[in-house]
Amino acid sequence: MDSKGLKGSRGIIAVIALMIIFVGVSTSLLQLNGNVARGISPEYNELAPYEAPNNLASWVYDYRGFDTLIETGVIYVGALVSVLAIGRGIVRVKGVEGDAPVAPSSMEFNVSTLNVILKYFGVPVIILLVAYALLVLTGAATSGGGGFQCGVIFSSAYLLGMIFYGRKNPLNLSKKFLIAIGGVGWSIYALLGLPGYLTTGYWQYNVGADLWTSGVIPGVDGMAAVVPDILRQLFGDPFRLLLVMSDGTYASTAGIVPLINIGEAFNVIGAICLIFLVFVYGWNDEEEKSR
Amino acid sequence: MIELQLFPALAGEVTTIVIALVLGILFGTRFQGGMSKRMVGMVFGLSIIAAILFEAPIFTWSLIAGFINEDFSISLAFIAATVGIFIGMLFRGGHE
Amino acid sequence: MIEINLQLLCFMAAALLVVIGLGGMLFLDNIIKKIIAFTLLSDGVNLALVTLGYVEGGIVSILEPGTSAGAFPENAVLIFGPGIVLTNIVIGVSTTAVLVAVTMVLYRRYGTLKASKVLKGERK
Repeated sequence: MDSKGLKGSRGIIAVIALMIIFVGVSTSLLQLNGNVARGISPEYNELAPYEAPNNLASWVYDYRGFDTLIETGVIYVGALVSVLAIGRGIVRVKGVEGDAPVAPSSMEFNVSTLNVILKYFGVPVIILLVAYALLVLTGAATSGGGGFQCGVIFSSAYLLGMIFYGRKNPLNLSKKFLIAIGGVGWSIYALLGLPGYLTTGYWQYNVGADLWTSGVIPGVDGMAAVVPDILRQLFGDPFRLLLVMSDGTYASTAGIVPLINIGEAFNVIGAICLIFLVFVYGWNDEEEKSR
Repeated sequence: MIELQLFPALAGEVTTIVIALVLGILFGTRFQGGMSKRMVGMVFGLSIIAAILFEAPIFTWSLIAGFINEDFSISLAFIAATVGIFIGMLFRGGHE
Repeated sequence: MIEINLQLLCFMAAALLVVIGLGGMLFLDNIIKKIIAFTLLSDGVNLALVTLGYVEGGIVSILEPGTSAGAFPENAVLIFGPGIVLTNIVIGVSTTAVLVAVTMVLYRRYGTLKASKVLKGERK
């Protein structure tokens, strides 16, 4: 519907219809006010701190398990469809009459008119953004953060480089690198969960902590200590986190959460940067050879 | 409350710094173009300021992880990531 | 009379976002504006889901040093809603990317972003 057609009586009818929808939606939501069943959440709040201080991290990486891995596959489907639709031109939307398509006009950024100060401060900001992404990645177990957030911050740094410098992006990610990093991320996620499953039967069981502290793999008899004492003195216990609470101190098993986050972050970096690359640079094989 | 100490590092405190350094080197190799020494110094100084602002992650109690006292701590993971990026740029030949 | 608290206000805001998004998707002509309205609708749904986890006088569900681990489960917000919202955000990103890609194809084909002209098949 054209927006000009909404000026007269049709506009009034549209507004009234929207008001009716608003009343319906808000009354149905207000019935939930104060009536939400607590469900499984309190029990999970009780158990989750033993995994990691950040409840959401334990929820995502322990309770949901494989679901989070496949969830990043959704972004890959988005990237794939973007590539197919605008990159290679395999998918062509047929016109109603089947005429020749309108010639596309140029959509490139005009980089040459950019401010000098912006260009000068672009590289430091991009470096600091990448470092911030890595900080968010490593802090997933203890604070609000994680693999997906890291991927988004990294992609924003990549997009910033595209806008400031055009083709001479200081953060030069090739298509091969992005696809490879996504594949590595998937394998990290799957392989880190497997050792715990094979030895104890629990997906993502923190085998490294047992191996490091006691030198014994749970469920496997006759395994001697593999970590020498001096290493333990030097590095402490990298696979656990010591929680100091008012009612005592206990060790959580947060050590595996940052490691699994790396897999998630690699997936997201690969997929979202691929989307940006296709939208801005296009997906063209001849260009790749010349670059 | 646990006293400030240097060795051994308590549980899980070194892991984040090592991960940040390694990933910083990995992504640092993807940077191209040169950087002057002044620029490197400026980025390093900015990263130290940012590290003081971000503070050490909670539940870290040793000097290795950047914890000095309750009010003042340094996020060493951030500095490690910045240093890792510079090392990676050296590998790729960032100073062309 | 309904008591006004944060949960109620958040539900009202979510309903408002959903209706604004719906109206924008139905009545705006520009395809890019339609996509923006779609993301508004998606945000409204996310806000409603997060608000479901509201606990009166609750705390963030992150353990802090020195607090009591025993009292944590009663005070922490319900974790189910935010856990589901994470999935929704990811799906929203992918959907928006696909929508923008299709919009670019339509623009190359028809030379316009007006949905009315695209539906009629008019060329520039």
